[in-house]
Amino acid sequence: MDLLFLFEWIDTSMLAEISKAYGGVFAVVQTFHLGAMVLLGGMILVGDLRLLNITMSDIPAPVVLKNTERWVGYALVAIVLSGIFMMSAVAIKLYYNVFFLSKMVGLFMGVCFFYLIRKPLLNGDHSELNPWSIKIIAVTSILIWFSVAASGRWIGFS
Amino acid sequence: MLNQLLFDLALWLDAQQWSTDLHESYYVYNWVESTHVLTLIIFLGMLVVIDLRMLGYIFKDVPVSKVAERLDKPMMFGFAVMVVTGFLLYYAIPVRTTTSIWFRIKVVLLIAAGINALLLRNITKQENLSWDNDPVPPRRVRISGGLSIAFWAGVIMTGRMIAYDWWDCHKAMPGFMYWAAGCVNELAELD
Amino acid sequence: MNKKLLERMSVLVSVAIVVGWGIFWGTQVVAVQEMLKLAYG
Repeated sequence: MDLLFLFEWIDTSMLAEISKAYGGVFAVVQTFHLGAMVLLGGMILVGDLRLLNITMSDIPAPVVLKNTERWVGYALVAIVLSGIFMMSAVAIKLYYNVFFLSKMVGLFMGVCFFYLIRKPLLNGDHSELNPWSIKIIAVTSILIWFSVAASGRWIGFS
Repeated sequence: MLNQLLFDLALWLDAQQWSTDLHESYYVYNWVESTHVLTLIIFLGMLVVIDLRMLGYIFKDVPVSKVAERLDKPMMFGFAVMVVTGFLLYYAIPVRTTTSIWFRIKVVLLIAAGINALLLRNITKQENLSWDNDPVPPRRVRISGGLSIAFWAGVIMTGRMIAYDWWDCHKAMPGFMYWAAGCVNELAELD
Repeated sequence: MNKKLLERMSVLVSVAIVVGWGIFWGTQVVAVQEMLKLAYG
């Protein structure tokens, strides 16, 4: 399915007029995007490190996950909104960029993995679960989100 | 005088072959820069959880000192990587970075954040903190936590702005800006 | 969905992601590195 029409529409939207015209505004929004990345990554990482028993091992894992998941939601909203703004400025270039595609696929996988697998399986009691299952899920989560963040930076290099 | 000293230091670093090699490398500079940006997640990611606990927004049932202690190691690991990669980035392009107003503000903010962090660390490392188990800590702790987030947000912003050339030395700027950014050659031409 | 089934599916999906996405993403990075080398070599 060819999505070029969607990128062309965003590229000529009112949002794009603003994002293309004011480099300073773009830079500030990008900073906001980076801050949201820190919040999102940090909250997910704290949860995953707990699942791997690397940190906060004397705090029950479900407590760590429950405390961090609200902030994951806030960060996702911030990161997507700031991302859409930035995308509008360079939409056509992004359409042809493999790392942007990677990032979106990774983001979609990451969000689905978080809300459809990690949260339902691990929010409750862990005693019935195989410890290795928990570790595999934590590692997968870290890998997906790492690829999203790294893809984001590599958009600039390709 | 400090401007001249810093500029001379930058010139000395710039003259070194490794500096040029790093700047002109196919892969290494990109990897160093990517590592610097991504390690923010480890370093500031842990720090923001600690600061949010200081503000009473997260882990309210867990003592403040415990949150700070548990996340300290990954945070410090992240900090070490940030310092090493940060130095390498400076070393690759020393002259432009030294005369970047954004970099200078970033350094000031880093120092401010560091002092704030040290003061907070001294407080939380004390025994028998009366407020340790409080869901919402006392005002001075909340202010410190809030300042920490503000300083580090500033570090991120100024760090990102370094790449923009709006106030590079070769641009026409008010004399005060040349001084603030340490544009030694342009200042000399003004005289 | 019962927990045991969710657990098994989660592990399967995780392994598939780690292997599949890992290989795909890794090859993209290598491809871009080679392109940079060609462009600036």
